[in-house]
Amino acid sequence: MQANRLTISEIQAGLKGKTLTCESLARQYLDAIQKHNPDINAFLSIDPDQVILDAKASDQRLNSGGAMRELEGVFAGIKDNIHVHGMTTTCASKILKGFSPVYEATVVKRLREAGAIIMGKLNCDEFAMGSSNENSAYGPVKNPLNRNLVPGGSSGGSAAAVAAGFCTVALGSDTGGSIRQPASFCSVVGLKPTYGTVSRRGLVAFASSFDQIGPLALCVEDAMLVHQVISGKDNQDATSLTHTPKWTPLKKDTGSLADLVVGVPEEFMGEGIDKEVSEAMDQTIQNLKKMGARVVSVSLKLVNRCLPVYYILSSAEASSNLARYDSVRYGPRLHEGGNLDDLYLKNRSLGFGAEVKRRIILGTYVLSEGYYDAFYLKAQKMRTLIRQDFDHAFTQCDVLLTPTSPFPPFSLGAKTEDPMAMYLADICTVPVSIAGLPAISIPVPRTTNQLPVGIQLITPALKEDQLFTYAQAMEVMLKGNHL
Amino acid sequence: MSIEVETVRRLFELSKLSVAEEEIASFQGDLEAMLDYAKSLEEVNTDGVEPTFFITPQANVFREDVVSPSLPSEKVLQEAPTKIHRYFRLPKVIENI
Repeated sequence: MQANRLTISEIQAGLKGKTLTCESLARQYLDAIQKHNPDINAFLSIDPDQVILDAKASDQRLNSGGAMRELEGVFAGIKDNIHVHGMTTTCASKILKGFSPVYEATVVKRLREAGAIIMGKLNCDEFAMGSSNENSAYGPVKNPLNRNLVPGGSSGGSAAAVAAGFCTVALGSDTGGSIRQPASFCSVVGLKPTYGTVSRRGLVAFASSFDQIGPLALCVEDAMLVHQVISGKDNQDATSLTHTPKWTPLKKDTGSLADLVVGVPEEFMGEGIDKEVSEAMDQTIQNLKKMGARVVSVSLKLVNRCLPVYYILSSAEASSNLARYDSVRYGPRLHEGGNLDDLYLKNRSLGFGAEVKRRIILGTYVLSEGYYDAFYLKAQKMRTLIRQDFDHAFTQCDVLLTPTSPFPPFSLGAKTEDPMAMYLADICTVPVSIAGLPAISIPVPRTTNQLPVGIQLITPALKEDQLFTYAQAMEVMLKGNHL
Repeated sequence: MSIEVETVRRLFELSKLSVAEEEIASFQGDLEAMLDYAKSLEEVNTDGVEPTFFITPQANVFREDVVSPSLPSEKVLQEAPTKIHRYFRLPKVIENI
């Protein structure tokens, strides 16, 4: 097996057994990047010399008797809305072109402390707004599994980089599905943790009551290992929870799923779900039953209301968060001259792309006097009802199973002219974000000529330990049963 | 839900964004479509439902009121496109002084 397709435990076994060095691994990732990134366009910035230096330092450390750290030998790509020391953060926007952050994100610091090596910065939709990675000011990302297809979004670069063997794992951010949906499009694992479990210090804000950082990886265990390192209280993010559970490593021999009750929301099984996705869901359910799980039908009756709720709330928050881009304190000056108002107007207009503008004006509208109650407050009330829907569903099952996306990856350009059609890509992931719950997307193995499909598992808040256990059991099950 | 062209212009103005005449119709159409969708929430009864503004049980998070070092001003100014001494430089705001 190629070294740039190894999982964390395989890498660490190789390092321990001296069959692998961090430097040789780094060179394999860098070779893959050099060969394929010009076309796939996942990495926006990378410093190969630094990567080699860091890898050599790790090798030296291990050779001189240093202990194997949690993420020793792990090469991590970072979505370009998360600050990394010494690299630019552009958010795939012109308004932050060349911007060098003055501090590093807590998650990146924690990765480094655990032994991980930072590979570079990954393309995404501008300010994480999009579902296909076509809203990047630096060009779209192509799906490594089929380069005519989108990789999903907004963390499309993160998903593509892991799928293409450019790095071991990647960090993305998920506001309405931006980790899970691209993970499903690129056939990798993607985790959106419970809201508040991962520090957002150093993550550029989009919609603050939704945004969470999470890992994309080749397998559930790798996602778990990364999440374990990046999660936990951070005094520099007041929304990070004090109580963040730690969990024990999973048992590998998960041959049975006896006693597990899996709830399948009926709303995700009919209209609006593509045939291929439905088939993959049916097959998964059949396999679950064979493994001893009980599969029950549950209802999330407000699912069809979730997209408007999400777009009202996230756009309102975005219009406020993005007010800070004034081309005065940071970011390039794209236009000079005129008075202060002209300066704001011209620079913001030149700096932001169309989708970002759409969301800013929608957010401004729903927050404006006379419309606040009808839209913004209404959506916040809906949020209460949607949470209750999930609470009720979890009285009937241990875990919820849904498709991650209603359709498989689509062709580049297929939905760029129709924002509403694009928004539908998030219909299965948005409800979870509204309720602040943890969810993981795992790939359903497919034959080579079939399009990638992912399934999403959801548990109650802070039950990541259960989520990982169920996800790994299903991963083992699915790998043994190609559909 | 129909939105006046003037409203679209006003939203851009409030958002400190400019919009070209030829772009207005497309933004107007997209906004109308989104608001139609948003209007559909009226069909759900939310009488007496408390809004959820924040999804974790956390309320105010306090810390000890102790002085700790902030970023030095040269770092704060490091990314400013124009600066003078220890300040951000802006176009003149108050006339005739």
